Amino acid sequence: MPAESPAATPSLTDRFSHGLDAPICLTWELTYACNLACVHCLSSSGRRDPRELSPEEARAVVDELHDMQVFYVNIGGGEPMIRPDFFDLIGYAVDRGVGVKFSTNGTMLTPERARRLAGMDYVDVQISLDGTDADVNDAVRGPGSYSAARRAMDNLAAAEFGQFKISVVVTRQNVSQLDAFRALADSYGAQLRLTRLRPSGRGADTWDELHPTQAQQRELYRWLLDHPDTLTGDSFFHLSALGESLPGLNLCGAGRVVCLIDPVGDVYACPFVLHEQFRAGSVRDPGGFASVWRESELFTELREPQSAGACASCGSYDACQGGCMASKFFTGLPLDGPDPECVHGHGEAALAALGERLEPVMVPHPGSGHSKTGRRPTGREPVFVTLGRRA
Amino acid sequence: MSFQPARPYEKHPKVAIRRESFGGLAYHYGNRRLTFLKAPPLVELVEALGGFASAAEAIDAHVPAGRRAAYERALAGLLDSEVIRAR
Amino acid sequence: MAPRVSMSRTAGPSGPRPYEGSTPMADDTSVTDADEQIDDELLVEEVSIDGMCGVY
Repeated sequence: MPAESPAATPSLTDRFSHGLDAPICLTWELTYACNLACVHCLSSSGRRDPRELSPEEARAVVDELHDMQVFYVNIGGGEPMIRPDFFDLIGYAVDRGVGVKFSTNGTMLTPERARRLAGMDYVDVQISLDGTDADVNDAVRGPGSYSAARRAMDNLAAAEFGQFKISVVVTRQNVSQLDAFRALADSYGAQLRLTRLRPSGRGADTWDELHPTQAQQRELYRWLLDHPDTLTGDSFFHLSALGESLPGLNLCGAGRVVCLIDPVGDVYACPFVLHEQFRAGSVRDPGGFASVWRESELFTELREPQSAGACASCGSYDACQGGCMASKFFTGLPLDGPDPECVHGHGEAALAALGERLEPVMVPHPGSGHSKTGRRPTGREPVFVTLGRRA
Repeated sequence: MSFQPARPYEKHPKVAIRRESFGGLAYHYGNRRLTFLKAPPLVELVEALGGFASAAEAIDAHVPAGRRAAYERALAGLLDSEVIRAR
Repeated sequence: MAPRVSMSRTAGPSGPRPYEGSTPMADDTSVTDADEQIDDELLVEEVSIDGMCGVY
C-alpha cells in the first residue's frame, strides 16, 4: 500500500509542470443570459452580452477542442438552454468526439427536451439545487426555482434519460441537509455533487453570510469521507489539511488542467476568477483557443511552481497547496498565503489582520458583470473596493 | 476474469488515448474514467496490444528490460478499469 | 486526429456506476533500482473526470 494518499501524488503535479498540450476538460459558459438571479452566481449572469459567440464561432471552438483531443466539456452559463443553438451545439460536440456535461437550473427542461436529451449519446445533465426544500433553496436561487428543478428531474426520469447529476453549492444554510440531498439523489438514482462556494461573481457580496463555518467544514469533510461516491469536482482540496485526502487530483487545476471559455470567447484560468487579472486571452485571437492555452503569459505563469509564501512553515501545505486562488483573490488575501477558509484558522487570522490595517485595503471585486440589477455601471471591467476597518 | 499474460487483449474501443510528455491520458467515454499512463512505453503497449497473440508478446516488444512485472501489474489494473479488454 | 470512438451515457442505477476517486494500481512494492527510468512509483493512476478543480 502506498505510504501517502494516492490522490496527493506530487509526481502528477511534476508531470503538469511543463503544461499539458490541451486541457483535460474545461468549463464553457455559453451565455450570460439567465432567467434566474442566484445570489451567489459565480458569473454574475442575467443579461445576454451582445458580443456573445455566434453559432459559427461556437462550432469553431468545438472543432478546436476536437483537434486538441479535449475529452469532455462542461457547459454552463448563465442558463445554457436559453441559447437558440443549444441542442445543435451539444449535438455537434458529441459528433466530434467531445463529451458534454451541461449544468442547468432546469426551468427550460421540458418533457419534450428531456426526451430529446434521452435520445442523445453521451450528454450528461447536471441540475443545480442548493436546498432540499423550497425555503432553503429559493432563498439563494429565487422563488419557484426549487420546484422548477424538481420538475426537471421528474421530466428526465419520465423520459428514461438515465443517470443525471444533482449539483449543490454547500452553504451555511444547507450543510444540515447533506443526508437529505443524498436521499433525494438516491430517489432518482442520480449522482450527488457537492461543490464549494467561492466569493466569486455575485458570491463576492454574499460570501460572508453564506460560506460554511469552520465547524461545518469539518462536518462536511467527515460526511464526504463517509460518502466517497459523492462527486465534488475536487473543489474541497483545501480540506485535505484535515487528514486523509478526498478523492481527486487535490490541486488547483486553473490554467493547468482546466480553464474557462466565457460567452464572448474570453479565456480565464477557471470559472471562479472572471476578472481581468486572470484573463489569458480570447478564442477570437489569431491562433484561437489552442494558442491561448499553450502560450498565454498567464497560463505559463500558473504552470510555474507556486510559492508557499506564508504557508511555507505550515505542515499541511503539501496536503492543501494553500487552497483556492479565487477564494484568496476575492477576499483580498495574497495568493501566496492561507485560504480564507484554511482549516487551521490561518485564513481567518489573515482576514482579521487585513481589517485592522489603518490604510484602506484594495480588495478585487468582480463588478456587477451581467447581473440584471446592480449599483455599478454595466460593463466587463471589474472594479476594486476599499476595505476599511471591519466592525 | 483476472489478467493473464498468455491471453490476447486490446485497447477498449470506447477508450481514447492522448499522448503527453509523461506518457498519456486514457479516457473511457462509457464509464467516464480517466487514467494517467505514466510512461511512454505503457502508452505504446496499450495501443499495440491488439496486434499481438498475447499480452506477454506485446510486453516483450515494447517494455524495457527488467520492467516486465511492473507492466504486467499495470495491464492488470487497466483491465479492471476497462481501458483494455480481453479479445 | 482523435480516434472516432463510440460513446454512450452511463445507464441508470442498474448500469455501471462511474468511478469517483483516485485509485492506485500496479503497486510496485519491490526495491527501487536506481538505474530505472521509472522507480517504484505507480505506472497508472486513475482520477474521475470530475476530479479536477476549476470546473462547474
